[in-house]
Amino acid sequence: MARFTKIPEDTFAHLQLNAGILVTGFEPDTGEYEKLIASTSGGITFNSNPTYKDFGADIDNCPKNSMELKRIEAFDPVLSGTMLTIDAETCKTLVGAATVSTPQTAGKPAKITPSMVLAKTDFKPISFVGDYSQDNSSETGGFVAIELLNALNTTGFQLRTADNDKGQFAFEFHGHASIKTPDVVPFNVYIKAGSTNVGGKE
Amino acid sequence: MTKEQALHAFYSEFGLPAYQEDAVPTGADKPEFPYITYEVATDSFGSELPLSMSVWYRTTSWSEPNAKAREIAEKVTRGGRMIPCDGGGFWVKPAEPFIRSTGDESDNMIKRKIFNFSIEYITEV
Repeated sequence: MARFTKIPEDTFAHLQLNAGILVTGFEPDTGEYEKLIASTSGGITFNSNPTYKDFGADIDNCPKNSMELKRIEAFDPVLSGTMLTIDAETCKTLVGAATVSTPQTAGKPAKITPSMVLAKTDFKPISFVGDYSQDNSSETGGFVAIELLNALNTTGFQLRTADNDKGQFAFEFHGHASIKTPDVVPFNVYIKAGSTNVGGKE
Repeated sequence: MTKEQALHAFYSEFGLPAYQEDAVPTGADKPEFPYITYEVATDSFGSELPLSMSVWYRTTSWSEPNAKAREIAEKVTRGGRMIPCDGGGFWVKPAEPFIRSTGDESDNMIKRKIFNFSIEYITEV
């Protein structure tokens, strides 16, 4: 075996698997959630998008990009992907600033009305949750979860159709900071190992 | 547990005796229906192999084999199963088509369900 052609012994225990789901009301302590927002296609992408400033950039004789003078300016965390399913509430979420008039009762359509004014209620926490590690049973599986705070879909409601195929709704949820809590970065990551999987036991 | 032992343990989870394809007892020791036969192939990190498993019934109706197929599908799940073994483990995923029904030319009462898996090995060797 080549000396540096190796994988860590615990690789198997630390893999994130499958596409994961987007949910609301996620409880990290239990792994429970309120609602699965929609089916997705092509996986989900997250990027924390930090921006940094080099305070030494304009200081004579100071090395550029020094760690002592590097400062975090902001985070712009983004969860993006494509949804395949839609209902009135999900549509409102995708529109961003909007109201839903009537639930989808028999014979009546729901009406999602976009608004020119953003309400605080248009921002809400949304979480990505994905399977983690070899312990991934349905009851006690581990997870990697990303909680996006004050999330808003900033790319608007998008629909793309195709012949003999399903409609697609692209999304890009951005997390937002709050003036009330300026030091709170608008995302959290949770990693939890699951309990022992039943597969492979003697 | 070796990869081969872990594969056998996985295939034995479904409530039926499981035999490697080229090691099914014959003659007086031939197993009674239903039973499982399975392929064995192993590799290491970075490889993904197609493997299949068959569930064999001898019956007039497809209802029992179909019920067993649903039971197995629910245990494997759409996301697959991670199976630990020496040096790491392997990820058993449903392949396409996941389940196929077929018979046997020698006996029209034999009902066979073929399960196609894609197995990704995550081991050093």
